[in-house]
Amino acid sequence: MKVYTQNDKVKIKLKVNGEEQEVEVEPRRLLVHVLRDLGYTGVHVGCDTSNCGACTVILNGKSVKSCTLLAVEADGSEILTIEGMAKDGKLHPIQEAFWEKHGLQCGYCTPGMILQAYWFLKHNQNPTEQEIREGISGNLCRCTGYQNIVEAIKLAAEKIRQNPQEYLRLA
Amino acid sequence: MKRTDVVEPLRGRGGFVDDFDYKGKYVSFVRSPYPHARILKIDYTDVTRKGGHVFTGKDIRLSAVRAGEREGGETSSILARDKVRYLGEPVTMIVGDDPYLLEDLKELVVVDYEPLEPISSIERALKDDVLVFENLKSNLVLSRETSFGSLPKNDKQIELELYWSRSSGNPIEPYAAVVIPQGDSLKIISNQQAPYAVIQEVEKAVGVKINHIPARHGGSFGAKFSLSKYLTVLAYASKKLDLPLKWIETRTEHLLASNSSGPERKFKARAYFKPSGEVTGLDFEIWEDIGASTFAGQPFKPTGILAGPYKIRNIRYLVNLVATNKNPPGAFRGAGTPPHTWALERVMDNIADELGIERSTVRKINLIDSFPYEAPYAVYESGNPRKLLELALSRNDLFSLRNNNIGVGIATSTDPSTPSGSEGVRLSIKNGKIVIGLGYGPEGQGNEDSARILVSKFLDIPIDMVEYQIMDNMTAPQSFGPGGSRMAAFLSGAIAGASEELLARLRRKAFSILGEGLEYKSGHFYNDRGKLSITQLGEENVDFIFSLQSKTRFNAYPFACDVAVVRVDEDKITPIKQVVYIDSGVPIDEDLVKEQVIGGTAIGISLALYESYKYSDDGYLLTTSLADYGMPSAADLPEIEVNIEYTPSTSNPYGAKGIGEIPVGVAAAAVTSAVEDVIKRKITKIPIVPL
Repeated sequence: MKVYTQNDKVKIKLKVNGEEQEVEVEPRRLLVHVLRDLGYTGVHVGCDTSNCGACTVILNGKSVKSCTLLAVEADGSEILTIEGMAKDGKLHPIQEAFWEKHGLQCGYCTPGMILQAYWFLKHNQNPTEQEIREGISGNLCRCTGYQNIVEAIKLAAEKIRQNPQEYLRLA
Repeated sequence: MKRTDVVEPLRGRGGFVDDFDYKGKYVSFVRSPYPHARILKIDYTDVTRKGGHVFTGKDIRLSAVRAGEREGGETSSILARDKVRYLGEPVTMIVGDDPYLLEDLKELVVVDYEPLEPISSIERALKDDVLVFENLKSNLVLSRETSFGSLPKNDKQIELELYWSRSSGNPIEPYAAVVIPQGDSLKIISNQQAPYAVIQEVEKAVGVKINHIPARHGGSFGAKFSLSKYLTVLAYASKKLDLPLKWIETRTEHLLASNSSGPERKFKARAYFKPSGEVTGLDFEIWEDIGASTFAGQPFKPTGILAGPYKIRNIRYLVNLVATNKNPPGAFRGAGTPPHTWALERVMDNIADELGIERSTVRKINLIDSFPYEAPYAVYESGNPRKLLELALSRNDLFSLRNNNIGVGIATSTDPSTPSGSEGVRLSIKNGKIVIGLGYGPEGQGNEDSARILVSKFLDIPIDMVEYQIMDNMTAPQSFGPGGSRMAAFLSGAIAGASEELLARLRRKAFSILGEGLEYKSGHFYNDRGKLSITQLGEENVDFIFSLQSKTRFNAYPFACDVAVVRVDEDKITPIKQVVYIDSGVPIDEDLVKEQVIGGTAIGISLALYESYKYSDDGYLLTTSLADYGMPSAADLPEIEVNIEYTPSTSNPYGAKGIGEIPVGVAAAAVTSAVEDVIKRKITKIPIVPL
């Protein structure tokens, strides 16, 4: 294990939404803050205790809360954020489904919720309602009562089943 | 209808305060580790030596400003002076280069405290041997009675002791503000709720002109009214230092010290009734735990719905405000009405049980059955709550689920949705587009899309021709924005007025081109000489302020009836389904009404079962994370079905009613009733403790 002192600056490499990024960070700096500093401000902060999931990103294929990782731990990793979901301006089917089913109101939990949904649907393209509810239970929403989010993920599953290779290749 | 206002957040480009480009200093607060203590000395020389700027409560000089029309407290400084009165109360404000470095600087502040005995309950406070505010001589800071008619002497009586726990909005985005000096004035970008109105108070308190840019909110639910106390000190410091400052609250800070919680209320609720089930009088005495503050608005909002949807005319409502060593309250969805609705429904259930009649029967007997109905305290202009109840009772699919473990409960309610007041909009024609300008930060309810729908209806044009724009406080003609459930009525009124004025102006222009005999249809003026689109008549800006004043404070009363289905196992209560029948007035957009009602219902269910700020006997907050607090996940909430059954309101040109808040209390009441249906014991507190 490498030991850093407080005044060290560490150079790390990240591949975010396919873009190579090289950045110098304080070793104590959280991944979420580094991503936001790099301009990926769709990665939100809603708590400081790993409860809310607004900062959820996909890191090396896994859904993670980017507030619980130090940026140095993510060195060399590939990351998908909400900014990488739409392609050429066209919304990803999960984003479309959230729009069509009113799966968001204020929109603050939405990026994390959508990335969690992406990871969940990657592993289960035929989910039951209960599986969806449990699958997103690490992401908190205060506006919707979750109902329209659950409906959106059901619809997203339908859309993704049309072409899973295309829609699930982002991470 | 699909909402256009959510497309940017869907892409991760919401434009929240923390997303704006910023160069400048950051702010953090050193907070009290004690719930109650005297501040003896603050030593921050090491911070100053390292280049940080420090402000204590004594450094901040503000003018006293009373808060305007909202249920939250005053516009004052958030920093403690002489004494700290709740855990997490800010003691010093530190300005530094970066939030991480600020954490280091905060370690260097040394505060000497003399801990005092903390007051963490109403009962303890009322002993008055330890005072939260010594100058007030008592922890009972105010008692105020409202009464109508006279309470019956010879009728049957029941008396209930009830308790509604402290909870709060907890929007997923916490407080956030950026303050930038601009010559003699300041520019502020923040997620302040009711910014146009509140910024005027901040300007007076600090003595500086402010240009406020309302950012999109990641939810508010009433919480963000209370940002103002932080804005005052940020504005003061920015002006004093002539430096840009940014502050983003953490969730832990929000839970400890946001001054934004909902009501914590103890009731002694007495009701008088006839053997028939007719309720003849209500005598409610309440004790509101208002934390470390000297006034709160939430216990008084129920004066707009004292007897709820029932025709009870003899009423006494005695409010006692009790100061304790807790985070002062602000406002939370309903701003004090959900516990009142819940308590009224507890009373109805208990009367039914006492008389051995159906719980629905006692409601049928007492529900208002003729409108407009002039209650002693308000005018309910339209409604048909008995129909809502009948529809609910027709749901055999739900009632047939009852068994040893599954209970069904019903509840009915109304809400003082729309306080009297005003709201301004600017309706413009610019570059061939129709633009509706609004003066507040979008909070998520979709009012911006409602505004587009209303413009399209009042101007008789396709909705795609209409855009919305958020205006700063220098541009907006006037605004309050979302608060209570006022936007349906106020936007209807303001946009109807603006549309009428715009068409009158355009008609004069069209007349000068086409002459007499003009007709108007689908965005065009026409006569036998030709046809002109409203976008071909040059630029226009129409400011219109809609005012709504009535004999009593509130207007546009909606009604609701809920059916809750819950499963009760040995150690767990699971909500299975919740069905809502709602009189929303004329819905501006049915999808938006349903979004709001589902969201509010979810909060009501959650308050009945999960959420609570818990304090130890010695005044320490035990629920310092969202998990400890009981914030529900998708797995904790049931399917919610919403059915709209409306009667038009007469308070505004569209006939809309406010429906953001009514779902909360009625949902909590129905869930409580459903749990009782299984356990056959009386529930007197929420959240309901598993058996």
